[in-house]
Amino acid sequence: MTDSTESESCIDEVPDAEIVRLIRLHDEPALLVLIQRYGGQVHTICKSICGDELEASGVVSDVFWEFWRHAELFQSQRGSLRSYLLTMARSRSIDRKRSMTSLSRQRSKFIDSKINSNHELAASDSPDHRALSVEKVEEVQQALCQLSDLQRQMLQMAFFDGLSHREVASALQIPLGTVKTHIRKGLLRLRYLLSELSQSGKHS
Amino acid sequence: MSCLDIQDSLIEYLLGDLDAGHRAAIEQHLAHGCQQCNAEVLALAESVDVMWQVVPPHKLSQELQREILARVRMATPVCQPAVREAQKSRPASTRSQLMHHPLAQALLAFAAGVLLMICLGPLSTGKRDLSINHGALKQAGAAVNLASPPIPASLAMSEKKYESTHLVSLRKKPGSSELRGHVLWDALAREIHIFCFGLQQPPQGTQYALWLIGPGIEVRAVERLEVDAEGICKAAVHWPEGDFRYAKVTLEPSSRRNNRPSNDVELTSNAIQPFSY
Repeated sequence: MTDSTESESCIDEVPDAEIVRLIRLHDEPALLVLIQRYGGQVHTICKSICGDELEASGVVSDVFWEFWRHAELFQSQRGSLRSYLLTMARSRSIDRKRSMTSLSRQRSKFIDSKINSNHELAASDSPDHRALSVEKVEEVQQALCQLSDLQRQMLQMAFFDGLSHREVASALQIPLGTVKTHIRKGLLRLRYLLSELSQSGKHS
Repeated sequence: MSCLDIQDSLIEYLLGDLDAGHRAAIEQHLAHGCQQCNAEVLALAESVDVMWQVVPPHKLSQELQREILARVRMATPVCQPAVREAQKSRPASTRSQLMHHPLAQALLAFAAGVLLMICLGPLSTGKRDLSINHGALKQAGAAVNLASPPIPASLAMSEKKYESTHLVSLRKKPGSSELRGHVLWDALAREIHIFCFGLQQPPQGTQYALWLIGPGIEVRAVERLEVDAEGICKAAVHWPEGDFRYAKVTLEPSSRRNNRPSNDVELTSNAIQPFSY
């Protein structure tokens, strides 16, 4: 194992809670670890919603900058660090997109494209990253495939296209209450399916 | 709000899609310990986390990593406004006299360097290189789009250079040969520095405003500028939120009450792409 591989392995072993604690103390190496761990995923969300590389990069920078300044706002009991950062990325990307008056809406086909292209997924360029393995991503996608088309479409629109529930309802011409119900059921089913898959994986 | 109402909005709450009032109502309800709603938000938070796991892991480009770290290192939200306030509080005539004195220039340059170093902290990458004299800026010709003719020596005190800067000229009309100042865009520090000279005092009841104009209707008065006795004005302002794919600045006398540019353009810069460097 090379030195760099060893150091990256060490980085991967630092728990999120420790990174957050250090960033709250304005420890710059901890920020770098955070960027290396979640920066790619944050960028994917920003690119998916903004549709423009330049804008996406700006939002990525804003997300980590904001976290650097206000890490104390993160509450681990309300979800994981990844969830916090990606939710922030989604939110800031929506804000940025709304300010881009000349850009027409660019719908990403993020989930569908990834589901239809496991090859592309497996080739993502960080095989040594342990925080979220490719196998885990595949498990989630497997679970997603078991949702109804409508549920999957709604989740895609809400999470990766950055649409509010009301906007999803309007786009699909479905009552808002129905959209909320579908998204809630879809999310809870996804969680259930994933725990089932994890259990069967452990037993096999 | 009833538990039903709360639960109906929990996913939007977790995604940050609610307005502040709605969000506060939910947080208050959860803080009061409603078991059912707390269990629901926990289950949904886990589900949202599962959903985010579909995003494949990969590493951010080295270039963007460096940019973010440089932004963190260079940001001085406490220091820089304080420096500007200190400059504003001094009478303009005294300030301009000081600016012309060579010894004062040297002392101020040194003090500014020390102050910025204290505020910004030590550097490990060497990317940030404060340039507080014109010679150093010239040497950085490869890193910045150095315009000519050079900035007057009296304005050189505030010059900075980074790898992320654009330096564009201010003229009466685009393409005019008469240089009247410069605008320095610092994409990493997200600041705009303006230096202009040869200005007349604006008409009675008006003040020069620095307008930032981007795509669409992005017209913002980002700063009201004072012209000193020698017709010089300068300022350093943070970029406001907005679309900055292409942008330019203009200097226009504007009524203090009016939030629209007067279209009586005194100076204008060429449009640039501030994020491309």
